[in-house]
Amino acid sequence: MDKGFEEIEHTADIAIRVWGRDLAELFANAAYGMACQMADPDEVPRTVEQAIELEACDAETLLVTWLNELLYLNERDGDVFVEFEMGQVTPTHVQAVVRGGPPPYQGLQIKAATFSDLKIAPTDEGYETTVVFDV
Amino acid sequence: MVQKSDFRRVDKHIWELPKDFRDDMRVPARLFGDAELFNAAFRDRTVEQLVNTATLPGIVKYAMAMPDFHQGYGFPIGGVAAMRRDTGVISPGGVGYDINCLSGESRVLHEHGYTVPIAQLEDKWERVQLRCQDFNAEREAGTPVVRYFRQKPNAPVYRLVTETGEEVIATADHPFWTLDGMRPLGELWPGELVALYPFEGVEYEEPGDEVVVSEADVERFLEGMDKGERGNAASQIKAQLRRHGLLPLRMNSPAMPYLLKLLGYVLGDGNIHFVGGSGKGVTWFYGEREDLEAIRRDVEALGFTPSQVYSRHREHRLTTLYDTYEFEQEETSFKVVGSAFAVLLAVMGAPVGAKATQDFRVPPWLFKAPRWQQRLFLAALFGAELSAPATFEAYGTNFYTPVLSMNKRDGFVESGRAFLTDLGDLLAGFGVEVKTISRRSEQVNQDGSRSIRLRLVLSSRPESLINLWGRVGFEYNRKRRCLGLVAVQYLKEKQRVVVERRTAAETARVLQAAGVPAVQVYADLTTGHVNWRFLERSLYEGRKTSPRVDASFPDFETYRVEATAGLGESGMVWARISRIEPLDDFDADVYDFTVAHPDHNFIANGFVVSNCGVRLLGTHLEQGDVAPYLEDLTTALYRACPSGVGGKGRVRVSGRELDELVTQGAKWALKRGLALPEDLAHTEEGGCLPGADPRQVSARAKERGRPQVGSLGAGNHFLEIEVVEEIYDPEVAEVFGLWEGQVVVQIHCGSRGFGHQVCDDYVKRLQSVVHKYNIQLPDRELVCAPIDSPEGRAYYGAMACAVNYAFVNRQVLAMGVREAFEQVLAGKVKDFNLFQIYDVAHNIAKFEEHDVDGRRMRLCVHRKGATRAFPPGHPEVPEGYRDVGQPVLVPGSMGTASYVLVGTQKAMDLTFGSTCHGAGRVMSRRKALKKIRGSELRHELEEQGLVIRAGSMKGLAEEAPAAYKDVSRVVEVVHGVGMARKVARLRPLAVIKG
Repeated sequence: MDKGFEEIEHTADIAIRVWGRDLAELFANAAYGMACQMADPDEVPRTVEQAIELEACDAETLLVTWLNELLYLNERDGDVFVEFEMGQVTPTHVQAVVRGGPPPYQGLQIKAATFSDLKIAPTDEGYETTVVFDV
Repeated sequence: MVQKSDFRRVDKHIWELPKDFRDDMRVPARLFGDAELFNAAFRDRTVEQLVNTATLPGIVKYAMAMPDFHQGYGFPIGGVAAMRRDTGVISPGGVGYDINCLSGESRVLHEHGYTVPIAQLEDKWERVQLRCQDFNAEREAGTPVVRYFRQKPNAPVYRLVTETGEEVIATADHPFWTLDGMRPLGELWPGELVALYPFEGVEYEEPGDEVVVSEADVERFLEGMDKGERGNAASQIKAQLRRHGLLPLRMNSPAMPYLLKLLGYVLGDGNIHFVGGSGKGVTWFYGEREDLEAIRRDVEALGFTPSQVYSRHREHRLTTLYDTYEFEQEETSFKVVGSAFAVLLAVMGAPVGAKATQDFRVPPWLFKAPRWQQRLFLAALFGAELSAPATFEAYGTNFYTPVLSMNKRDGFVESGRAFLTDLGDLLAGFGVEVKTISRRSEQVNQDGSRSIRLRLVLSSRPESLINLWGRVGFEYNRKRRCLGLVAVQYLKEKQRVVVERRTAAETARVLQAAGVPAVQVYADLTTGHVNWRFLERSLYEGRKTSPRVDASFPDFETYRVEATAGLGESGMVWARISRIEPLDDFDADVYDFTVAHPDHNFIANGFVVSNCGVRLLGTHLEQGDVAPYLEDLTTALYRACPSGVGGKGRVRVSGRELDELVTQGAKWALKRGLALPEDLAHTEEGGCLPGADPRQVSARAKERGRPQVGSLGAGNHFLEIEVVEEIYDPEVAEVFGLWEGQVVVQIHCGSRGFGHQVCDDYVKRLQSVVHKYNIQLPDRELVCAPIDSPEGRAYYGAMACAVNYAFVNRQVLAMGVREAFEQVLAGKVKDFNLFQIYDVAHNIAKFEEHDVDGRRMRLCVHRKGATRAFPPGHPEVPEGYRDVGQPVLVPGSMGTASYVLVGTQKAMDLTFGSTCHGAGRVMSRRKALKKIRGSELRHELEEQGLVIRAGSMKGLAEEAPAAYKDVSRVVEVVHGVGMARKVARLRPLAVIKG
């Protein structure tokens, strides 16, 4: 399966390009791409499940809020989330159940997902955006 | 796309991009660096972000990037920008930036001089232009309304009354301009001074749609003029007027306010004539340059083209019956060439040709216009011709009668007198009285004919003057307008004192009649303007006339200076609050109103939250003393100073303690025994940024912050044991406590999860604010809010908490360092103590005062990846260092040299007292990881004698020196430009990182 993201060059921090057939898939792929920066997804146990529901004023803000929520959970509990069961996802509202756990080794702590270069653009196959992470 | 060729090299190490490079730039952009560093700027988004920074509202002088610049978020790392203080909006009775929650009947002042109750703007707010204050330029300006909101009050409602009787009803968060800047009503006290704009204007009245100038009127005028090529010219003129929407001209035309002013002014200090009597129309305006500029703008607003302003040296010779006067004058003027313009004004009622030799009256249609339109005509005429407010003597308290003079040749005097009577009739509607219309024969002309000087003399009764200057005022004459406003307030003060004295006199008599002894009466009633002699006279000599002001009442000139101190020529004056009454049963709506003056200044967000910074600790040890124990010491430090992903801090705090910690900064650490007093003295801001407000910080930020107090974090943060390798400036080094061969410790970290969460919270919150204040942003990350808006204040309060958290964090880590040194070195060296050299912040926004173009301004200086660098003598430099200047700490990347510099005056001049903060990255982490293997790097570094304790090999590789600019080069540029001077170079002996 197409992993849905790829890393791109960035001088000071980490950036990925993400795509998806719809918003839900875009969000899931962005979160997965982010998780891959922090740890090897194959080594992450699926021992923790978390329900998430968030709102924001537009799709970009919602994406940033979604990713930062996962980062907050990572900082608080040490969990990296790698499986995403997306519920309803609209430009202003996201609902999902995420699964993951503490990896044996977390190589990177991401401080935040930023608005830098973030623009959710429609493509022939769905949506695409860049996300830059402050590390 | 910015190219290298778009920049100009203005100095060896300074490159400038002019502000006309892009439309939305407000200031030029400046890059500091040598040629190679300059080229490097184009390899990432640094330059683009710098240009975006230059678009921020209120930015002053330049958007700057220090030599260690690299791409950041919104703002480049190494960026410095300063924003100036606020603009305010006028509502009678107070000045506020936002009209936060005023009661519906509060009036706002429109640019055209009429007032409207806020409630009535509901359906037209998008089309109005209000009068506002530009506090920095210290003058009035106009501004559109951006947002209009009606709601039930969500804060307590008060009535504020000044000593001179102005009143406003507002909620507790409505800001007023005080001596300490904008402050909310809820914080003000009776007796305090607030800034007031004394202009009352007149109430708005919807004008009718009667036609004032019709096509037929224009035709008739042209026929009467005997215009050559009549037919052709006439249709061209009509077509042009129609194109500008000026024919037919109706009373409710949006052009009316401008035309009324132009008409009034031309009748005073202007002249219309047609070349050769029937050719092209030319309209001249005479006056002071700045007023002419205002008139020109209005002419342009109508769609016509004014000439430039001409300056002419004139010699006058005036012969009167008494004497001959000769004088020289510099005259400024401009003209509008075009028949359409001239014809329009003429048909509206302006005389063509010399005014002294024809009959004309105030145009009859003006009497049917709403009062605010009449006001515009009168105010402009007065701006041209009415005498300025002046007192009898240089330091007097009584004003001369205002006079409007006009010359009429013999034979035209009657109509002149009638014209002045017309003015008097109009003025009666404003409560302004005419004292008399006098005539004086004065001038004998060259041809022997006589000109008679007619004078409209207005009453000097205070009530009449207050109406004249406070309701009619002056247009197109800023100096007179502002002087008139101050005079209004002066007269009101005078009246108040007179009333106070009269009341005291009456009360004294009443008390006496009731049997109260005289001594008691004096004791009870004496005030500043009522002394016992006055009371004694009231009791024993009786009063036949109303009391005047006493000798202690200031003369106008003295009053003017005091009452406008700090307010420039804005027309605002200080008024004292008499009382603030809570209105508990206020259940009407309040109105929230936002304006968007283009010069509003803002506090920019998203990039200055973390107070990432550096602390340098000195020891009394030499490298030789420490060498045998280096490994143990490094291990001890690694344990004492937690680092790494999700690292928990040395200190546990409760929720309440966290609130205290972020409010008090290092002072909290001192109280907890986690700091020495000398530590605070040698920290920027004393380790506590004032204005921190934990209520503005989210629960989540606090949740993240609580477990991390005293932790290093990861990424590019580190702790190093270093040795002073070279001293460049022995004198300064000595003052700082540095010597060659000395062992020092450097801590580089910030406000951890707390700061990041605050940043996240506000970047998100301010996204919607950007719409509210109608700010155009080239980059979503560059989000910001007006400094004096609720959001701006909230952001500042939260940011200050994050800043203080970082100061505490570094302080607690410093204690960890002290513990580790004691643990390993006690008994093995003479003195294992560490002392604080300095602690500086790299990411911070601070309110500072700087000189800009010769003026002292209060600015909000943003430093993102830039360090403050204050010069010798600056009061904010710790006393011990003040003679030499502020220490500037520039850590190199991990394992490379670091520098200590000292701040200079040049930094103040060039960069608002700022300089670089470190090396700046050149290689992305991915690339670094690809090119550099952590284990190999470690081996290399250890070969060099460096002891390393790193939590992750990956992290180590990413932080490899190769991934950074050469800090030595950056420092050379800084030293070369003169922003800071090299003092010492430090070489690492051991590195601890997460």
